[in-house]
Amino acid sequence: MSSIRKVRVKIDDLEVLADPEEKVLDVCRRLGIHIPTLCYNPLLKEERPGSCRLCMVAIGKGEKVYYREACKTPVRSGLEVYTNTPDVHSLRRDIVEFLLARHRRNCWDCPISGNCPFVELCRDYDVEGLTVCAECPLQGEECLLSRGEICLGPLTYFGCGASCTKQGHYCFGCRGLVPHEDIIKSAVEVYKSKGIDLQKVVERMELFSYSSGVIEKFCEIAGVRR
Amino acid sequence: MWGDFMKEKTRVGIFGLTCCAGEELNITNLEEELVDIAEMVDIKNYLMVQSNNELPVDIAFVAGFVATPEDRKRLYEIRENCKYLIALGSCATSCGGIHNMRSRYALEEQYSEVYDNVKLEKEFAPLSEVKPLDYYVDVDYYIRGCPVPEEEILYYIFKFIRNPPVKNELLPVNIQTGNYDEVRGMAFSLDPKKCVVCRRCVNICQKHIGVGAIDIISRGGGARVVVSTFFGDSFENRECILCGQCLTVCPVGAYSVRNDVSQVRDILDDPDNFVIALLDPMACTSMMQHFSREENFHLFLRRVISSLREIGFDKVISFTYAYHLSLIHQARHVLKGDEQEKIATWCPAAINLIRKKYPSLLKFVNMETEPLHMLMSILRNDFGKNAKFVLITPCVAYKNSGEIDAVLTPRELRHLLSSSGVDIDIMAPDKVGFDRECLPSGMMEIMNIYPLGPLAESLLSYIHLFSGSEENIQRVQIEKGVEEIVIRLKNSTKRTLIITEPRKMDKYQESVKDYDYIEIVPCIGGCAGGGGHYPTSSFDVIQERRSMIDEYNNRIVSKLSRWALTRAYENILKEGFRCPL
Repeated sequence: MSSIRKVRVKIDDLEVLADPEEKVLDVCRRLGIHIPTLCYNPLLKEERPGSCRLCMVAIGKGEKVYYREACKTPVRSGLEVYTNTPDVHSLRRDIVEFLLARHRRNCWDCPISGNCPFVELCRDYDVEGLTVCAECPLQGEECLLSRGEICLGPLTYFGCGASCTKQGHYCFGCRGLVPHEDIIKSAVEVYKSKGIDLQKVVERMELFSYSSGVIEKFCEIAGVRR
Repeated sequence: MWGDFMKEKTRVGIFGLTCCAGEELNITNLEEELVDIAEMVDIKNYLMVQSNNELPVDIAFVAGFVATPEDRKRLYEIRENCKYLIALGSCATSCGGIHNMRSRYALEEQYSEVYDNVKLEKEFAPLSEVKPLDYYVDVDYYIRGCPVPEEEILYYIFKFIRNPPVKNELLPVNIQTGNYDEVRGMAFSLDPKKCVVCRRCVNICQKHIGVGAIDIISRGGGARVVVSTFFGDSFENRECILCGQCLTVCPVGAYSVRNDVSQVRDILDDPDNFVIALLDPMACTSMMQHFSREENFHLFLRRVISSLREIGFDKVISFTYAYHLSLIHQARHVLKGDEQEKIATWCPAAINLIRKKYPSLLKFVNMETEPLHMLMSILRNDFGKNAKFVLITPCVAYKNSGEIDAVLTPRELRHLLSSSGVDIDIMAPDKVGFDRECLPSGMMEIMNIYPLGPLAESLLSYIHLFSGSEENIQRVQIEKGVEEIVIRLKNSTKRTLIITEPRKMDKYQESVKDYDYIEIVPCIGGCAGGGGHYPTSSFDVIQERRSMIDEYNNRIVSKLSRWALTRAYENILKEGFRCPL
C-alpha cells in the first residue's frame, strides 16, 4: 500500500526494516529494546527537544564509531546501531550523574517522590547519591518527620523502595548513610526545620553506622556532640 | 564438550565473615529462581549449602565484616582469588550493624562480660576495631540492606552475568552556579534549582498550548541555564493561562501546586463554620489509580465521600452540578443563536487563554455562565454567610479563582485525609452518596452524570433533548487537534468546533463568527489530564481515568429509563431549574 520504500537497518546485530521517516528510538521501542529517556514526552511525540541526551546510542563499530541521540537520528539504509555497549553504558552513566548533580535533591518535599525517574536511572547505571526519600511517597504533612518521628530517610542510601516508611514505620538506616556533604547538610536543615532533636538522630544513626564516619561529619555540621 | 561448556560459566562464590549469616541464608530463600541461577552460573563456594568449596572464583559475594584476624586473612585470600568482589549487606558495606555496637566498650570489658576470664587464642581473639570490607581491600561493588532483599540479589546477579557494571560511586558535589529565585504564582510555583533543563514544560507550553509563558533563560557565560518565566515574574502576571500542563509533564518535580491543606484544616477546625465540599468525581480517578486497592470506582467515590464526612465536612456536593447548570444554560442560548455564548466557559484555563491571548474574542464569552460562578451564586444564597466552600478538583486553574475559599487537588486531598488518620480503603462506603440539598428535586441522578470532555458532546445530547428532533450529527476531523461537529436540527444547522490543541486557535480566530459554538480544551485528554492529577506522561493512564468516569456515568444512566431521563431534563428547564441570572 505505502509507496515509501523501506530501509534496512541493523540494531544490535538484528536486521530490521524501517520507514525512512522513523527515528532510531521508535524502531528500538518497536523491537522492545529499552532505551532510557527523560525529555522525550510520549504525549507530544513529534516535539522532541533532544536535550537530556540519555538516549545516546553507538552508531558503527570499531574505529568509525560515533555517538548520537536516538530520538533525533533518522534511520537510513545500512545504519548499524548498538544500544548497549560498555561505552554507551558509561556515557549514559556520566549523563545521569551530571543531570543529577544539577538537581537539588530535597526529596522529602518533592511532589513526585515515589515516582521519580532518577531512582530507576540511578539503579540501572549504578549511580549513588539518592536517599530513601526519593522513593518514599509520603510528603508534606504525611511525611514521618512532620509527625515527629525520627526517620533516617534523608540520610540513608536509596534502593529499598522505602519499604519501611510505606508501612508507616520510620527508616532505621539499614542500608548505610550517604557520606556526601551536600546530603548531610540538607538533612541537618530538614531535621531543624521539622523541629527534631538532632541528638536523638545521632543516637539512631549509631545502630547501623557506628563507625562509618558519617556520624562525625553530621555532628560537625549540626553542631551537636556525640 | 560438556566440560568446555561448564568452563564458560561464571564462577560465583558466596562467603560469610563475622555476621549473622542472614545474607547467605537469604540467597537460599530464592527458591524458585535458584534453579535458574544454578544453571546460569557455577557456584564454586557456598559454605551454607555445599561442602565442596574451592577458589578461585569470578564473582565473590562477601557478607559480614572483619572482626578477627582470621576474617582478615580470609578476606585477603578471597580478594586475591576473584575478579570482582561484591560487598553484600549492611555489615560489609557501611560497617553498620549490631555487631559494631561492641566498639562502645573497651576490649577487656567485653571479655569479662562474655567469656569470663577464658583466654582466647590469638587467631580468634577479636580485633580492637570493627571495620567494613573496603577498609582492608578494594571493593568493586556494594549491595546494601539488612537483610538484602532477595529481589535485589537476583537483580544484581543477572546484571553481573550480562555485563559487569562499573564501580558504583558517589556523585560529584552539586553544581550550582547561578542563583535563581523560585518563581511563585497563585496556583503553582517553579523551583529552578530542581530543573534539569529537559524542556518538556517549555515544549508543551509553546508547541501545544501556544502561549510560551516559560522559557529557558540565561544561556552560556557560566550562568546556570534554567527554565523560568520572563524576568522571573509570577505566572499569572505573564502569559500563563494556569492550565498546569507543565506540572504533569515535569519529570523531576520542579513545579509544585500551592498547598491549601493547612488552610482547609483551619476552616474545618473553626466550629462556627459550616463547611461544604464540592467534589469533582474526576479528582477521585487518579487517587484510586495510585493509592487504593479498591477496584470499583463507584464504591471508591462513596468511600471518599464518607472520609470527607469523617474529617468534618458538613456537606459533600458533586461539582458535576455546576457543569450541568452551565451546560443547560449554554445549550439554550446556542439554540437561540446568541452572539455572546459562542465560546464555551467550562474550562477556566481556556477562559484565561481568551482573556490573555485573544482579548478581541471576549465579546463571545459570557462570564456569567461559568460553572463555578453559577453554582456558587446558588449555594451562597442557600447556605448563608457562615458557609465555607472547599473545591476538590484536578484543575489547577481554579486555584486562582476568588469565588471559593480553598481548592484542593487530589494529591492534597490525600495528604489531608492521611494526616487526619483516615484511610480511604478502610472507610465504609457512604450510604447516601452526594448530598442533594438546594437542587431541584427528582433530578439528582441526572445531575450526577459527569459530562465527559470534549464537553460539546454533552451539549449535543442536551440540544437533542431540548429540540426533540431527530438529530443528524456529522463529525469531521479538520486537522490534528481540531474537530468540527455539524448538527442538523429540524429548521436549522449548528456548527461547533472543538479545539484540543489551543495553539491552533490562531488559525480559527477570524472564523469564530462562522461557528455557533467553540470549545477549547487545553489539557491533553481533557480534565482527565489536568494539572492537579498525579503526574503522568502515559496516555493509557489518562484513558483509564476517562473509562472510570464512563463506567460511573453508565451506572447512573442504566438506573434511569430513557423516558425518565427526557422527562427530567424537561422538568429542569420548565420549573425546577432556578437560574441565578
